[in-house]
Amino acid sequence: MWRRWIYAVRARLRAIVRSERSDRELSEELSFHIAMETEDNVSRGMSRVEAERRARLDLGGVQQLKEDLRDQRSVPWIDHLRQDVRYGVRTILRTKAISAAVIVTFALGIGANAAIFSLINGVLLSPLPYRGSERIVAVEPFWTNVGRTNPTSSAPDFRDWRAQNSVLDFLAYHTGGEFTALVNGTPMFASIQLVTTDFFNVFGVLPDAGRVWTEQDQPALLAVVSHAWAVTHFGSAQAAVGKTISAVGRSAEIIGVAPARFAYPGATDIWMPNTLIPETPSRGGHNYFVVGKLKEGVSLDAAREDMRAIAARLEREYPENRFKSVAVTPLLDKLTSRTRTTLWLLLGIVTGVLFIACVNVAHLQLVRAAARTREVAVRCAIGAAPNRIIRQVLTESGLLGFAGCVLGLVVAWLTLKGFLALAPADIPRLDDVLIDGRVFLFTFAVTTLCSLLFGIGPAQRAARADVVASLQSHPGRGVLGGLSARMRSSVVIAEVAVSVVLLVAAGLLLRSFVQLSRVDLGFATDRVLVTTTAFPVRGADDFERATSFYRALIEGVRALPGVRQAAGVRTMPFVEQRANSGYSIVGGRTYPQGEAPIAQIQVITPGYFATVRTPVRQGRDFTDDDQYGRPQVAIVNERLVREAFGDTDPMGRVITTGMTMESMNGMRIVGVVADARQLSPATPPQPEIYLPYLQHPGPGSRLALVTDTSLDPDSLVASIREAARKLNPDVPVRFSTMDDSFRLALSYPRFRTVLVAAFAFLAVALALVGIYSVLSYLVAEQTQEIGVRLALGALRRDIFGAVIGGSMRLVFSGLVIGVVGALLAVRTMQTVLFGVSPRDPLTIVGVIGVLAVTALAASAIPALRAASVDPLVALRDE
Amino acid sequence: MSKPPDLMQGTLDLLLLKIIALAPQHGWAISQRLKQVSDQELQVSDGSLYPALHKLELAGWITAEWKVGELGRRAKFYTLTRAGRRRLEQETEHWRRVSTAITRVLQLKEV
Repeated sequence: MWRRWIYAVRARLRAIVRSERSDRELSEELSFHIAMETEDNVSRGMSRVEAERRARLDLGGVQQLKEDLRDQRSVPWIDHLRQDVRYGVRTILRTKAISAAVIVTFALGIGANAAIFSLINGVLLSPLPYRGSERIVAVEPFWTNVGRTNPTSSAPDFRDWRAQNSVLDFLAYHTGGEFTALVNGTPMFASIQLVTTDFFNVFGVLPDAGRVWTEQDQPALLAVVSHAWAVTHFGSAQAAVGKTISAVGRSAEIIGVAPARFAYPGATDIWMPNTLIPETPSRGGHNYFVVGKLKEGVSLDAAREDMRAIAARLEREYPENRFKSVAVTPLLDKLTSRTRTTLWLLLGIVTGVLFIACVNVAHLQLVRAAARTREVAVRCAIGAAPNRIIRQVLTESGLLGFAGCVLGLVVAWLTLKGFLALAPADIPRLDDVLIDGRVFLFTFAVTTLCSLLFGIGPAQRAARADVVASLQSHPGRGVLGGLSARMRSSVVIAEVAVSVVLLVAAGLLLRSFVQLSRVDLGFATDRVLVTTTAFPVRGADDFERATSFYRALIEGVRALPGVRQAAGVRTMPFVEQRANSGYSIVGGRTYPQGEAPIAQIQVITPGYFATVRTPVRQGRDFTDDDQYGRPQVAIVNERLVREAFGDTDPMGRVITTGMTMESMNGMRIVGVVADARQLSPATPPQPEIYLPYLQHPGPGSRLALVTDTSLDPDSLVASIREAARKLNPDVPVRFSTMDDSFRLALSYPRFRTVLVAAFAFLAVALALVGIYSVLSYLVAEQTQEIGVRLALGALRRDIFGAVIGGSMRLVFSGLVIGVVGALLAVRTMQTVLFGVSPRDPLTIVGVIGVLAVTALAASAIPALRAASVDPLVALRDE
Repeated sequence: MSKPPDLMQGTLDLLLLKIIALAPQHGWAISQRLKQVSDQELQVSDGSLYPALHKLELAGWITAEWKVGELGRRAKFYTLTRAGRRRLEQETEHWRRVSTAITRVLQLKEV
């Protein structure tokens, strides 16, 4: 049966696609018939002329028959569409200026949307590039008393979760950071993750070369390296397999190379077995990031229920687990949680841009439709059906929309290129952002929708045209009385209102950013050089070697010309992984297990506060005498003093933390320093405990050296590198400045602010163009009326005032609606604001001022034109 | 000469399918064949022949092919498709049933 349809469709297609050829074939078929019939008639004794005449007559008129046959073959709507498109293109080309304005306006709106949707598509919507990625979850402790998750879990909890659950195929953890690695004897920093055996199973990793380790391998010293790292250091994935590297102070054989697309977590260089370093055995030591893979067919809810039941059992069993439940989150959501708000915010903003663009386009189309009232009336008069006219106008806006869509995709592509160049490195998955099929589909759908939106109004107007009135009126009046006052007003009001919302959003972000970049960090960032080092530590005696290395290095740096002060610090400000711990004061308030207040822990060497210019408020800085074997000491910040001591004197009191064995026995407070924003510029200072490095060499392989200098920090780089190399050539060093870290910490808010502001300004520019065009058209329409009024003695000043007044009344309504809308809308922005209230009066007043002034300017030009109408010319046109 | 009776609706299609089923042929031959077989009793005006043929072609019952015909000129030859053959069988069957029924009615004796 289907073959029949093939024949049928083919015959019709032929008629459409090759209509000329099909016409020719028709003629040929008929003329063959005539020739045969003529021959036949001749053979029956007719004259040739008569024979041919009869043959033609029998066919009943060749032309008529051809028409009939052609109609039979054609598909009417395609023919109509072809007509409409041809006619639409002609109309568009006839009014080049308006058409260009429509296409460009629409392209800007569509382009902005396509670009932002590409970001959302790549970052939030498309699955992670791992097998069964939708089943990969992050498993984290959830503190029920504070309602927050903790990114890391304890090892015993992990083991219990893994043993007792029935919903996961695999559960694994990873922990790590930057360590020293030696490749062919060259020291370097490498991002190393210690992972449990199932880690690769969670992600379904099939190595590019070699293999990943299994249970049977342990506890051998093995490593899997990333594709990029293998290529950089060994030339290719194949070449890396079998090589020996030294990492985390141990030798390890590379047994496999991960595929190029595998990058978890972040940009890891080397994965090694977790057995390399003893696990923290306590349930209070949260050091491990846990990921798992759900069993096929297990829902997230079922998994949560199962895991929570286990956590509840653990909570009953172990006092340390009080208030500790568990959260199961799809890994994709986890990775993109911070970007999510920003991207939806951006989508909101560009939707506003598109809305304003569409309103502008609708207005231009209405103007065009009004100008064509007579033409449409003529077409109706000679028999065009209303729906045929509607279809024609819609085809036209569809054509414009399509042209705008194509141009918009170009705009999107350029915008996207700009983004990716500008985007800070910590937005996840930017490699996955591209204009793909889904983006095309989205853009096309939005275009169609918008074309209908800005086409349907003019189309209906055209179809409703009053034929008689349009044809009777004066030809020049074809445009008069075109648009209703209400339509015009709503254009202006809507555009102003949406602009207010977008500008308020942008204004709040700008104010936040300014506040953020001016925030008092509590430490200096200018002229502070940071030297990051990592002393390779294998055994216990290496700690002493590390300590003497750092002591000598700091001495050496202090002796360099231009150096004011130098000191060491364990974790640089703004670095994510910071140690924290519950603390309590001996003789102070006691807390039940698990409810002690939390303090950030920082390990420093003497001179740190002077180097970063954090004022010591009370007591003293550490000295070289605060070392192992001497009384344990600590310095706390003012925030901790306020929290733990209130008005009483903290000096000489003893503080304990669960951080290390040493700190559990208590440390005497010898000083109080000013608060500092160590976590991020936006996070308020937390309670902080500073410990002397010499009493807590701990996992002491890493220490950053901060140097306060009167010179350009970069000028010290060479001499510090040389000093370190002389002391120990196996220690890698890397340089940056505090200013760099600060800039990096601000790069994300900056990116967000720049984008939102750019789109908001685009929206406002479009809105102003809209107001200008509405008024210009209004004035053009009323030229004759103005002429009459001038002739009757009206003052030009009054004409000017009337136009401006009318416009500003609308702008004012728009401002009021916009401010109300903004106050409702910006509540969703709370989390991205810093130091300003969402109802910040300064921003709102500023936005109103800016819009009022610019709208006034946009109205002034048409108003001036109205005021300078020459009554003679205007009346002569009548 | 009295006008031959109008063909019943749809009957022309049946006749055309049948004639084409005998052998692939062009329009003129089909019209000749129709006159000849029916002893001039069934006459299709040439003006309605071609629309009917084209309709069958568009419906996919027959398909057309250009071949050199008489007079050494290219002519459009129509062939039955497989679907057309099935259609012909159905139509024929249908025609038999209807004509039998009509005949039966006409054979009723008046009383």
